[in-house]
Amino acid sequence: MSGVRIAVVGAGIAGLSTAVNIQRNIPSARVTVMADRFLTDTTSDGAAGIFRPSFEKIKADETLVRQWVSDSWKHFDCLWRSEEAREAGIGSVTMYQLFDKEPLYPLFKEFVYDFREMTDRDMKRFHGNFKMGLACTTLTTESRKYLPWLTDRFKENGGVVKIQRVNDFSELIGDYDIVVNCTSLSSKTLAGDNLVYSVRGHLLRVKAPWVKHAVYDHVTGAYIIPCFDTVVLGGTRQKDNYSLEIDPEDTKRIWEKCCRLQPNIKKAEIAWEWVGLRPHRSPPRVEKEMMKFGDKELKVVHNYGQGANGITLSWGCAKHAAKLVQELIPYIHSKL
Amino acid sequence: MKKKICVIGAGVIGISTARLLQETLPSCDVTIIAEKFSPHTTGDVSAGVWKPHALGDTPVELQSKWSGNTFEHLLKVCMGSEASLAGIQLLSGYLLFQDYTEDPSWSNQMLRFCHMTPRELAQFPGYRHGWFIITIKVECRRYLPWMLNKFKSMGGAVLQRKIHSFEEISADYDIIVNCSGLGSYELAKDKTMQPIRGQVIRVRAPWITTMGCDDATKAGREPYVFPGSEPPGLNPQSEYHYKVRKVYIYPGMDGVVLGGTHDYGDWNTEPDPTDTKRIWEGCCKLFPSLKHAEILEVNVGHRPGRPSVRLEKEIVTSGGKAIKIVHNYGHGGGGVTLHWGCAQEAVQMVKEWVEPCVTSRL
Repeated sequence: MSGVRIAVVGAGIAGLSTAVNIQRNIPSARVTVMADRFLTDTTSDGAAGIFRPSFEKIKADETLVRQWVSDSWKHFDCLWRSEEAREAGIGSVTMYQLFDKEPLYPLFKEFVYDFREMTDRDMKRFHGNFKMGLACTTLTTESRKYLPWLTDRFKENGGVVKIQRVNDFSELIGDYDIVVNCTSLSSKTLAGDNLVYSVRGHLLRVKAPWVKHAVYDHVTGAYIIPCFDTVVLGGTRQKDNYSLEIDPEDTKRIWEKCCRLQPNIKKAEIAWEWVGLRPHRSPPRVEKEMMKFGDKELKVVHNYGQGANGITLSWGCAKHAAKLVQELIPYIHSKL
Repeated sequence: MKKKICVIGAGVIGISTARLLQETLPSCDVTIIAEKFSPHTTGDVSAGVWKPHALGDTPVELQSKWSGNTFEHLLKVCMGSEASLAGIQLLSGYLLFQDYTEDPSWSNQMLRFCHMTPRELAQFPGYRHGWFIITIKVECRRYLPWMLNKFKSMGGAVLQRKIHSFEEISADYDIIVNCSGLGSYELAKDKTMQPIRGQVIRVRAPWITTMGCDDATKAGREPYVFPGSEPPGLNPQSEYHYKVRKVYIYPGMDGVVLGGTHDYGDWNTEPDPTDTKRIWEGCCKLFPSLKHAEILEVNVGHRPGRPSVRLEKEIVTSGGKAIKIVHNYGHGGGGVTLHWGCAQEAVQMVKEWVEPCVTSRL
């Protein structure tokens, strides 16, 4: 099928990843990414992007999640080992997770490197009442490098980027054969979906080049993750909070709990602060829909709602969405 | 009356010994006298990675005690609020071997030690075996000034001066602690000492967060006579000199250190462009993204090589007077790795002289 016209609405990590996957699967497709926000204005901008799929938050069919995680890991791992790692913003980091009770062994243990239980000596280094710890070497993805990298890949394969705000998908009927919805929280209105909601995250980016390892305190919610040139301190999980304003009380709370967990953070200088709205949905939505607008129809593939796992699952979900797009192609021109 | 102790040398050995002396023997006045201070000491050139290597004839149990105590000390500072001032950080990465290599005796002293999996080894063609480790890296350019500031703030005195003989200062001090490193070749007339020349390149490459090291243990020694390798003014015995070439990449908080050379018996202080080229190419082969790195400096340092670490008391008589000396030098490439443990032992020896009734052993 030559020249099928595909509009990917949303230029965050989901949109760009899906657009690139579609190009790879269907080289003859004409793909346009359209959005009103790009790069640093998208949801993943400040996120640490550490590969740590939290299964308990994903709440979807286990086989499906496993496939998303597996495909994503293969992609990031392959990138990390390649010469493109630096440009794409992929790094590796030792990650410690601390618990006050027996945790469920996470889904990702078979993918990451050197997954193990922490020794007492290892755990004693951190301040808190921890009964158990898990450690591994995993990957991080710096959005400020990765999104531009994805955009370059998209454009060099003939992709077109349009600055356009879509207020209703019906606007796209006639100009596009398939619409891919990667609009995150905007899907509340664009797709009439009340299952997706915001989980607000606030984090600090600090200069602390002496901090080389990531640590999660599952008791207080504090986390410290070294990224490309800054260290992320977090975090907050405020359900149904849509404010992008920085609350100095949150700043103070995050700073204090991170300093208590690992005092060597105390001399760090804050470089910038950021608030992101995780688009949470149980389950994340990756599926086809025939949307009806009066007597007209639009073939839509949804790919949104990965919440806290947006970066981690981005490639696996994008691959899945691109496959769904491919499945829709034989049905183009069969209905008017 | 207060006992006066002089520590000769302001490298990692001298300053840590002086600091521990201050803390352990508050009844004594401690003075550091040195010709060179950071950033001109041997440690300032080095990557400062905690990684024991066989130190000749020094008994393994002793080395193990010193290195273990040093690691625990550094780990505490590393997690504490002064970590950045002290320049201490954790470092993860790979030690690579072409053939299977036995686990070292110090494997459980690090925070993590395990064999690399085939998946991890696949990233490094040509290497059939490897270790993944989590160890500690010390940025001496921060660590030495940090310790020296603490030393001064606790009342320690510091003098900048080159000492040519112990007699020069024996009248002013009750006990001398000799931490002069390679300087002991002249100062202690110790001809068993040998410089082990190390050349390194410091680069800016913040995307490199993992270390990589090929100790080339099987590559062997290459006999070599270094032109002009005699130290000026002295007449050394002709020696069998040799080079051991290694490749290592140690990312730190102030840049990535690429190395290196181990040129036994080479006193040359100038960077050698052939070494620079070989180090650069070897490191880029291991971590190809290094080719985007910005070169900051090329430095040369001389590890104070000795058949074994000299950590012992000595009494030298001069003009009828007995000069009490505790020697703490000759740590070769293990200065950072061993410093705190050795300092503890040196301080114990000084203590035996200062408080003989309390600490003398039967």
